[in-house]
Amino acid sequence: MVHPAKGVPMIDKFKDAFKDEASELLSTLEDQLLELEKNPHNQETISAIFRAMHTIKGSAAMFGFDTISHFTHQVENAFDKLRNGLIPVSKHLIDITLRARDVISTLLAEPDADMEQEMSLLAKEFNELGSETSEAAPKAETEKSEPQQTKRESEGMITYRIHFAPKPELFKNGTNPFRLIDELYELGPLSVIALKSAIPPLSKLDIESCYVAWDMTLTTDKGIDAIKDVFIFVEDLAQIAITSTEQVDEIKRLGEILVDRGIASPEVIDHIEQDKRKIGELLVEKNIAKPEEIQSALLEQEHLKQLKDRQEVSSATIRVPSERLDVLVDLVGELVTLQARLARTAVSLQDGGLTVISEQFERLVSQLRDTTMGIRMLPIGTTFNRFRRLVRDLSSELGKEIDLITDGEETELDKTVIEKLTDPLVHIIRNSVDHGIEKPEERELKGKPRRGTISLSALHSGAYVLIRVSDDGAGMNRERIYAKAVEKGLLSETIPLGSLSDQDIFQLVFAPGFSTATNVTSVSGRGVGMDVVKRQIDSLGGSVLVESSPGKGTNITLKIPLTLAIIDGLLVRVANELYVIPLSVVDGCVEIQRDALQLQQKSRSILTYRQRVLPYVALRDLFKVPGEQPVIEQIVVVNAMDAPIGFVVDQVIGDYQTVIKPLGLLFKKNDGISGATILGDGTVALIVDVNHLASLAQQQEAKQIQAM
Amino acid sequence: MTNAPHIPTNVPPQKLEWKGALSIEDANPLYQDLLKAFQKKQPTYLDLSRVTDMDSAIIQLICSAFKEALEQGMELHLTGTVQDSLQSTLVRYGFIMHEESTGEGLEKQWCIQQKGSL
Repeated sequence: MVHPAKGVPMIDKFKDAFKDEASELLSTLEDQLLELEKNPHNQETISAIFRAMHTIKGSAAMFGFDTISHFTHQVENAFDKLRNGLIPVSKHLIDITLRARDVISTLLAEPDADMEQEMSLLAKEFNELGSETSEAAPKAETEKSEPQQTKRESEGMITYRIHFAPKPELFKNGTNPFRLIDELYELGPLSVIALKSAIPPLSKLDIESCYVAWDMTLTTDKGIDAIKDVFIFVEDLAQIAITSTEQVDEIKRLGEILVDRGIASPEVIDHIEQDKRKIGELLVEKNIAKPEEIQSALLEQEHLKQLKDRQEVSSATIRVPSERLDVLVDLVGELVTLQARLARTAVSLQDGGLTVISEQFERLVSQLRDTTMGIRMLPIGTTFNRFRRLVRDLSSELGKEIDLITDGEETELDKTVIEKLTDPLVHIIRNSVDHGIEKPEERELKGKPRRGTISLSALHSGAYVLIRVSDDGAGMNRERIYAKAVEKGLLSETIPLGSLSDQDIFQLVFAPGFSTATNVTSVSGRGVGMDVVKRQIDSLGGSVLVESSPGKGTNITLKIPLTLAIIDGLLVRVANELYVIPLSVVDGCVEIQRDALQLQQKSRSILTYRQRVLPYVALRDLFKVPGEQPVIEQIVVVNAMDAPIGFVVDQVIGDYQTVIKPLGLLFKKNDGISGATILGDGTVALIVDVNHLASLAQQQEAKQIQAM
Repeated sequence: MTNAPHIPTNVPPQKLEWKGALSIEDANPLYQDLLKAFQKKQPTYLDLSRVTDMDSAIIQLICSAFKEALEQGMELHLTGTVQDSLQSTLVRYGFIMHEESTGEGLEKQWCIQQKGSL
């Protein structure tokens, strides 16, 4: 098994970094494999997979994970064959590579896990891949077994310039110059440019003569003899010049390459560099160099740059443990609170100088806050990717054909929120695959396409992100859900089905212990799941909305707040109580006199706002705040659940950076409040849960209407 | 390629369509086709959409045709979608710098280099 070197802490740090890097590579690998299954001819994906395997193999060997290194080598070999067109992309290949990915992933997490059996099984499968098709493969003769090589790539690497100018007779000899170039590709990274200037116009062309020449830049550790060997049979039929370039850390400037190649003298380059134009153009203009010579030199520059980039790619980002970010966010939160105190003190002292400092400080703190929150934001796509594998594996297990379409992967959410979303999404998608999408035959009978579709999308909506899972399956069955709920004792028989709205029925599936699946499968149907979803989303301050139509499919929408830590709020006052309304949902404020309100309260609480009918509700009534109602009140118009509603307050104080502090367990049942915040003077303001209040208000209104 | 003033604009264009994986064995008939097309002094469109691959002899034949067109002031154009396999051959052996999926794009990349090399 694996024998990681017993290490000093430094080594352990490197190993951890390797594990992190490898895990990331593995997760993108999964994605790329599924992509390859869809587009089997995408050379870029094949190369990307090959590179990932190559990197894992190399780094694993470096850090003493020999088992991983040897095992990965087998997979890498298979993809090398694939890359060279020796074997085709097949479902079987994708299957075993996915399995191999899982093995590597397990070994990374638990180096002592017993994977021997699976590994030898997979190794056998990978080996057989080549042998089955090698006879039929067109390019089989060019394949050479890759020498076992675990030393670092950059060691002993030398870059060579190769000029290959075949004589006209080359074709008549039966030699195909492409095959020679193919052999050079086997030696290492190669850049090729064909020199076509010697090709005559059609009227002077002898089609059996070769006029093309090549300039190539090759970086290899195989030595100059290996390159000479490639040309051994055409030595008399071509001019061949092989020179090594100096190994330099800096990427050479074009002028230096040209001097190096003897195309221009250093004096000429110096003189020309005085001019600010592009050196290549100038040299051509002055007839010092041919365009092809410039192009070839540029290619060498690009070749070296790519090599350098490959070595440098790892230093472009730094890794920071997420706990440190959490501490940073906490500290920024404290700073925001302190800033509020400073602002308050500045106002009460009526000191102009202090006020200016306070305002500048506020701007900086707000920028710092946004930047800090930004660091924690991750695109949700990272989570989406793992569901493609889930859907693929589950659907083949259940004999269903399902495509997963994703949209809005770039939507960013707080890292903590994304982590907490994974489990709920797994449950919802499992349910869609298991209960939602029908078997292919059943779908055909219903006149639907054989393949079902599950779509997973994310989009921003104010301070929220909406994540929607839709399927085109059977939809939810009202009667069955009702019957099950009654059977499980979740609902009293005395309530008739007809009196319940779709929303009421669908919300029943989130009750603990609810499951309507007739067969308990390994996928779902154990009666846990949807209640976990609901609890998890609630804990994030979000909500779940279910829409379903029988025969057409189901939509489940998760509405998740963007961040859990700091928001911009609007501070309002009702009697002596202070409340914060999230500014992102506030549409505007209007002032209104009590007389006008009292008149309207006789009918329904409605007023006209921007030529639209606006229902409103008094926070004083909702929170049962005692005290005298002022003559002039203000209404804060908010967008709750996509519809505007007004909250009547005594006074709007102003906008306020709000550090959200969770309420203790005692307040867990307090509907309409999502948290609290500490103001600059130490008083506590409650943060209004706008959506909840709006639905509460709706219910109250419904009751009133019924009573009337 | 270039629009020379002495070519009447009402000359109907002629189209050549090549097919399959083309190599030096196929070169002669293709060469004759091109020569004939040039004799007619009509704008010529060479459709590459059904060509899966080419070897160096065929690629140099096309390059040579472009040079002829430039010398004679005739129009020669590449058309059709270029198959992936052909694109990767052209890039792999250094005839174009980056993959190009249309004949027009290929012509553009090629002609810039052609003019430069002349």
